[in-house]
Amino acid sequence: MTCHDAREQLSALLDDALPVPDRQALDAHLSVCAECRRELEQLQATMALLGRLPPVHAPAGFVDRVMAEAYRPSRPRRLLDALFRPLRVKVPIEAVAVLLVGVSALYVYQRAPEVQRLARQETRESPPPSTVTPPPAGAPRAPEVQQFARQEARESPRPSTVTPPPVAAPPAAGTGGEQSRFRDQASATKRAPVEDGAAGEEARQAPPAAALSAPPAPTSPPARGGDVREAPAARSEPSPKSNLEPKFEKEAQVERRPDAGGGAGTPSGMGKVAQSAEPSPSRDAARAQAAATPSPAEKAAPSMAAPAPAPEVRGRAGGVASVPPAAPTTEGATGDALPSAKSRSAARLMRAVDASGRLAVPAREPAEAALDGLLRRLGAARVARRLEGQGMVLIDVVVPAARYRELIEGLGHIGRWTPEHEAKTLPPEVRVEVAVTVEP
Amino acid sequence: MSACPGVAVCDRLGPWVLAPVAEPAAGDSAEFVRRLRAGDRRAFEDLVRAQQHRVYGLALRMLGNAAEAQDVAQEAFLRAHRGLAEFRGDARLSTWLHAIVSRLCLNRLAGSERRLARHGEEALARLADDRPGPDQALERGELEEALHRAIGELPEERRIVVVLRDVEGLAYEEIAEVLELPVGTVRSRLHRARLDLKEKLERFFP
Repeated sequence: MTCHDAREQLSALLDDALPVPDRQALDAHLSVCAECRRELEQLQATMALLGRLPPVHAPAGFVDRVMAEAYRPSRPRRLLDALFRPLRVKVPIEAVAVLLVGVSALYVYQRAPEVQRLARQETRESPPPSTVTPPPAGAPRAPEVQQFARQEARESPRPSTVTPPPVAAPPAAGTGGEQSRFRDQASATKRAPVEDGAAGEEARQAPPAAALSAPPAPTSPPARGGDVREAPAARSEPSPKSNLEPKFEKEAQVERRPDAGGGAGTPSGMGKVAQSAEPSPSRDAARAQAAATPSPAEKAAPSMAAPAPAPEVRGRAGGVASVPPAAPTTEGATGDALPSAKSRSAARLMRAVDASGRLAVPAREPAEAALDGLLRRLGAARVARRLEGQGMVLIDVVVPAARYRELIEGLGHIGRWTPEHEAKTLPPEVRVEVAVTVEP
Repeated sequence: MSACPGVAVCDRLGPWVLAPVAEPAAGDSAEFVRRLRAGDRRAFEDLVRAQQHRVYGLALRMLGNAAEAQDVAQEAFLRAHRGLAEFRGDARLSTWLHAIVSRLCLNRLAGSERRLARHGEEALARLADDRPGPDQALERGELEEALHRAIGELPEERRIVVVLRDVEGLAYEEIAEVLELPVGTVRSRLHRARLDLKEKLERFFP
C-alpha cells in the first residue's frame, strides 16, 4: 500500500467506515509510516476542532412562527374569514349596509330626473329676464328707456323688443348728479302722496308724444327720474296710484343706482332730444307736469338740481307722461301682456316680494301648468322659480296691481292658498312669491 | 477528546442519539408518522420542536447568515408540512428533513454564491463574537471564527458533506441518501473537505 492510497482512506478509518480487510491493510501501513500517522493525527485534530463548535439554537419563537405559517388558512379562506369571521356580528352589519346603500340609491334615482327637469326649466325661464334685467353697473339703462320712449312716441308696434344696448358706460356723472338724485329721492318721497291723484290721472291721459315732448320744466322735480326707469315697465300700468307710491319710488331709486353713470352720462343727447321735442309738446303733457308739481317748494328743486343731467329731468316728464300709451291702446294690457310682462319682470327682478303665500296643491306639475295659464290670462309673468327643500317650489310672479286680486282668486282655485305676507300698499307691479307645496 | 469513539457510536445509534443538540426526539415511531401524515397539528409541532435546532444549525453552517438560515429553516419545515402526505415511511424523518433543508441551502448558495463569499465571513465572525468571553473565551472565539471561516471557504458540495458528517453527525449512508449521491462520492468529498480544513486550521493543532 502506497502512502497515497493510505491517505485516501484515513477519513474512512476515522469514521470507522472501512471494510475490515481495507482497515487491516491500512493499519499495517500506518504502523510503519510515520508521515501517514502524522497525517491521520492532524485529520483527527481537525475533526475534533469541528466537534468543538458550540451547538446552534434556533431563535426564540421559531416553532411558533413555523406553526403559525404552516396553519395559516389559505388565501381564499382568509378572505372569507375577513369578510364574515364573527358571523353573528358581521353578517347583520353587512346586511344593514347593503340595505342603506340600496335605499339611498333609490332615493337618488327618484330625485335625479326631477332635478334634471328642474334645471332644464330654470335655464329656459331665466334667460329672458336676464336679457332685460338692468345691466351691471356702467351699462346705462337710460338709453334703453329713451329709445323705448321714442318708440312709444312713434307708436311703435313692438314695444317689447327693447333690449339694453351694450353701450359702454359713459363717464360717470359728477357729484352734482349724485347729489341731485339724492335730493330728488327725498323730494320725491315727500311729494309722492300729493302726486298720487293728479299726476297719475294726467299721465294716463297724456298722449304718447308727451314722453319726448315733456319739457324739463322747472315744475318737474328731478326726482321723477325714477319714473323714467320704470316707464317702460309701467307704461301699461293701469294703476297710476301705486305708480307714485313712496315706497315704490324709493325702490326704483335703489334699483337704478347702478345705471346712475349712464343716466347722468348721456345728458347732452337726451337733453337735446328733450329740448328739441319741447316745442312740439302736447298740452296734455304740459298739464300733466303742472298738475304733478303743486308744491312751490319743489319748484325750487329743479333750479337747485340745475347741474343734474337733463335726462333726469326729462325722465321725470317721460315717466309721468309715458304711462299713457297704455291708455290709448287699452288692449295693450292684454294684447301684449306677455312681452310687456317680461320687461316688467325684468324691472322687478331685484325687488323684494310684495306679497307671498303658500299654495298647497295635490300635485305640483298640473298646478304649475294651471298657474302659468292663470298668469297668461292676467298679463302676469313668472320671473323666477327655484326648488326649495322638501319638494317645495318657490315661484316668483309679477302681476299688475289691478289684476292682483284676480291672481289671488285664481290661486285659490288652483289649490289652497294661504297668504303669508302682503304689503299694505301694492306697487303697480306686484311681485308675489308663491310657495307651491304638495299636499296629497 | 477523541472523535473516533463518538463517531462510531454516532454511526451505530444514528443522529437522534448523538445529535449536537440532543432533543428528546419525537421519534420515528409508526404511530408518530401516522399522526403526522393525518395532519395532527400537535404531532407536527412536536416534530418542529425536536428538529428546529438541527435544521436551523445546518442552514446556518451552510449559509453563514442567521436571517437567511432562519428563512431557509422555516421554509424547510413548511415544505415538510405540505409534503407530509408524500413522506415515505421507509426513510427517517430526520433524513427527510435534512434532505429538504440541504436542497434549499444548495439552491440558495447556487443563486448567491458571490454574496456568501462576501458576507459569509462577516456573518460567521459575528456569530463568533456573540460568545461571551473573557480570557479563554477569547481564544475559543478565535477558534470558532477560524472554523466558520474555514467552513465558509469550502466549496458547497464539500461543505455540505463535512457539515452533515462532522457537525450534524450523519452517517455516510444517510448523507448519500440526503444528497442523493453514491456513498463513494460522499466519502471522497468528505475527505477532501477535511484536508482543506486541516490546512486552514493547522495553527490550532496541539
